Amino acid sequence: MTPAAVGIALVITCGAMEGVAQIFFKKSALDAPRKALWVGAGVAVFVVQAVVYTGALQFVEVSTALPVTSISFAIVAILSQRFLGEPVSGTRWTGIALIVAGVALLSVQA
Amino acid sequence: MSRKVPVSLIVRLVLAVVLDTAVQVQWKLAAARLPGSLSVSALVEAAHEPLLLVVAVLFAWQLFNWLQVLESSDLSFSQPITSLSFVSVLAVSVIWLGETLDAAKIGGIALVFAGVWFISRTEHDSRAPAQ
Repeated sequence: MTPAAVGIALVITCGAMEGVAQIFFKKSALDAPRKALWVGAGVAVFVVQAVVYTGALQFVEVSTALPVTSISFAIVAILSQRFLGEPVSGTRWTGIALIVAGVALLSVQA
Repeated sequence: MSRKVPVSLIVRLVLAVVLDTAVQVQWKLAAARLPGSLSVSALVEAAHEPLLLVVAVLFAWQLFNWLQVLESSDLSFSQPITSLSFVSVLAVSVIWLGETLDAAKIGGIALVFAGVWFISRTEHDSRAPAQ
């Protein structure tokens, strides 16, 4: 694997971790007796994510990493559908695809 | 399920975007003032950097507000809306930090707005948060 590929793989891992952390945060709202546990788990995943992201930036520039992080919007939608039973319609997927494309354009260096 | 978004949820989502923008801009400013080396003394010095303390407080407020958002809305509805912070961070960078705006960035802003508009048109389980 080239250094850039390692960096992008790490950033995608961060996107997946963001998705997991968000599921934990939403679980904290749904499971009141164990609210603190879910919030703690979410924060713990966020801390590990920050460390992995810092490591990723050793391999790729922020301008490369940023658009890849927007994959978290798609990962959150998939996990919300799978683990929370939320309805993710075609319209919502269209919105997510536009946002991911928009964030990619915002990161393009002139 | 409905397409109506309670005003209280809109306020919390706007606050989420504002706080995310503040965290990112403060982080950018704090990082520029940190020492380049990673020695213990440099890290101790960094911990005393006032801007980093501001970032820590903003992080905590952001988490508290976000948990309030999730108390009253679908995750897959609210989370993509926070992508507006990519636009607001760019706006702050252009207005106060001298960053330039080009055609690609204007296109990106338009796509993010369009995406958020599509999301806001979807059926969702969102209600006024409990006080």
